[in-house]
Amino acid sequence: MEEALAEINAVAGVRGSFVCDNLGTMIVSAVMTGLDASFDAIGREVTQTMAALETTGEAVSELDFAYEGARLVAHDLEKAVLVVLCEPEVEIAMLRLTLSVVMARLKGDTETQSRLEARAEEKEVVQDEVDEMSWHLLEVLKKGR
Amino acid sequence: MPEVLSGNLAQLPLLEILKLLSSEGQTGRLNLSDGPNTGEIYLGDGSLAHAVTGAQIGETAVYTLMGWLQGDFSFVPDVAAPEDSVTTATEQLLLEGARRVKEWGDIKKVIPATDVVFRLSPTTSAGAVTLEPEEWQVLARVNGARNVAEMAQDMGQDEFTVAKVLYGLASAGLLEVGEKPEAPPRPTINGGFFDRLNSEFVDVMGPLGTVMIDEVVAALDETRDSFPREKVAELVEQVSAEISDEEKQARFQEIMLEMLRSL
Repeated sequence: MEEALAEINAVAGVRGSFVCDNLGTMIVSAVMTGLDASFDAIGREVTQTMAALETTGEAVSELDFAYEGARLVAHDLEKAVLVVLCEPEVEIAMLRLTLSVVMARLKGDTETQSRLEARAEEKEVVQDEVDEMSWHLLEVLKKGR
Repeated sequence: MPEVLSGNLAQLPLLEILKLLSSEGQTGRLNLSDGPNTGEIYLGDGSLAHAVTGAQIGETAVYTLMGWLQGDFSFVPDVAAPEDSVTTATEQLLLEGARRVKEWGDIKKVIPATDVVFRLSPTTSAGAVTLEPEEWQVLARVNGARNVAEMAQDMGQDEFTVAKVLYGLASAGLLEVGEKPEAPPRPTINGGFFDRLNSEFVDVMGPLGTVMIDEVVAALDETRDSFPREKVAELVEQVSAEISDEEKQARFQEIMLEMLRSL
């Protein structure tokens, strides 16, 4: 898995990448700068977003957040989530292509799969991780389904 | 040394930053940068004491820096000015700055950035033309290649003053906006890439693969003869999306990715 992250990090404009479980706790990371301290927080944001979308019937396998100073791409690996932190001007097509190749490889790699299986968690919106209004809205949307 | 204030000029214009620091009676150095251009403004007990950007110093530098619409700033407190190049009272300087910022709004309709180039207008109204000395100084530097920032630098003037004169001369029909020097040609890929792409794709999709590649190339608004390097990954991504078999798609992408890395 470390090799896969190194391959992703080699794409121009990528600053780092990591894999976290479905609750946002980091499993493995590869960073180019001292960003790792923020990884758990980023992981939680991403996984909570994915869980919230799933709760409302809008599940996605890919998220792409574009900020003024950064871009964040996340992919659902089912048992975990792959997160890539990039510069805003990252070569996005090259990154998507690399991710596609890397994820296909990870899917077929038994060692990776058993490593992820050991940390597999159900996606779930945690009340403490979201503000009161968002939690209330999610409850309403869940009831409406 | 701690920074108490930092951000982007696009969100917080320099005039507002100076008003804030001045009203708080701050002492320190405000660092500004816009790409390769940098500037510094020093305050002492809330008064502007010294400013420098490029070869410009004092009030001229302050007015040039106020014209920056983008770039980063950071304020380092408790740094004393190395010299006192600003002699105008801060309140007066900020008032003049506010006036210029407002005027910049009109000027920027004709001169949106300081890299704009002017040339002499081949057609003008009949009759005598009278120029003020500062207008002549600017006009004498218009050569169709030198931009506003370069003219200001050459004249030792702030960019606002020069842009204002150029705006007046352009409005009078004496000047027109010229074409910027052409951008360097986009790097393109050679035919060898398409030979390999064809060969790999036809292996997976059969003889119609070539046609499918052509369709994707056309959809990207490009041609095979001059396909830009920057769109190659997008081309491969879109072409590979046509492969419905997941395993074959992954294999094709892996081969092409390897090739892209060696381009």
